[in-house]
Amino acid sequence: MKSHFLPHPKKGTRAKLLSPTAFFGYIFFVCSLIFTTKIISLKYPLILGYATNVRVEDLLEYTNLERQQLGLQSLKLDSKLNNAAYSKATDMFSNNYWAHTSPSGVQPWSFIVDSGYDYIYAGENLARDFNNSKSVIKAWMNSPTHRDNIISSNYEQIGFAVVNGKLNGEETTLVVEMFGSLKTPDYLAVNNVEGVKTLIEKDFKAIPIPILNVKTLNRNVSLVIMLFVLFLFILDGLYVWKKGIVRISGNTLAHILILLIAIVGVWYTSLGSIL
Amino acid sequence: MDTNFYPFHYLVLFAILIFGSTLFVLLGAFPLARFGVVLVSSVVYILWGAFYHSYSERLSCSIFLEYALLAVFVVVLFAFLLELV
Repeated sequence: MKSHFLPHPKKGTRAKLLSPTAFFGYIFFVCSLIFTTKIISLKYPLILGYATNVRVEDLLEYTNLERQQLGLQSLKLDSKLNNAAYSKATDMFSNNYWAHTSPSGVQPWSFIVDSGYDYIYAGENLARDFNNSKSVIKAWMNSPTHRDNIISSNYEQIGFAVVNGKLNGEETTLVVEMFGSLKTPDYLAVNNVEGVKTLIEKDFKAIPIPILNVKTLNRNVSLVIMLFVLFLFILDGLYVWKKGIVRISGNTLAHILILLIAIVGVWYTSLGSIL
Repeated sequence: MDTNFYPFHYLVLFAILIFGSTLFVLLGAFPLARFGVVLVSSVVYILWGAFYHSYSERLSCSIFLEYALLAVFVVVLFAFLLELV
């Protein structure tokens, strides 16, 4: 058992779990996982799928909580702004871009005007690849420009879209938050619990949430495997150093360095981005 | 125990990997380009290993294989993570 985790003191070989055979095993295991998850997510999307737990009612609640903490009026959910946000999200998917302005120069305001919302002030926040509503609002609040939109006293209404699709070949959840205030007051926007619930039922199709999220699963499995191999290399390095073993092998410090940077990269891919 | 310690070589490796990581972060919206960065960084890692050991006249097939397998391991994991298959 010891030889699986520690290098051989006399033969000058690495631990069995760091041998070429073991590495072939890890690579084979990851390749098998790639195909297994692919097949399961295609055949059983409700078990292993892509939908995240970002919900419009939560986004509205957290946005208004931030405003209430500053003594600002709560924003009312507006059907036209919901439609504008949805149009923007589908436009990003169909034209394959991730920006406020489309490659053909279409501004966010076009979607707002096209939805029939005659605005005097308008704003837009975008987010992608977040796992839950709270982390979306937190990321926006940490960015001065997005925060300015959330806590602006110029806005009275708000609309959202949470849409799944493929962007640059990657399964993505886009969140669009549109802010506005009308030139002439409109009393159709709502902020009471019942009104919000009814409007959400009317404007949004329920997205089924799978038991397991593919992205979360892939990230966690990658992290566990990498951390395990990193642990073995650290153990190997410490053991060889402590015992003063002289051997001819690859550079353990370099292996640790590349694994550490790869782990940071894996962790980074789990973070959503905002625009 | 590594009896030949060349700090400059480590510095070069560190700089290469940091450059790769920065590109990886900047290319956030382009998974294929991100994977390209991982691929190139891994190849550079193998070349660095080969150079490092040939410099101290200790390069052998088994050492080269060790670098290559670790690089392939990282590449396959990122292919899995970025869902490129």
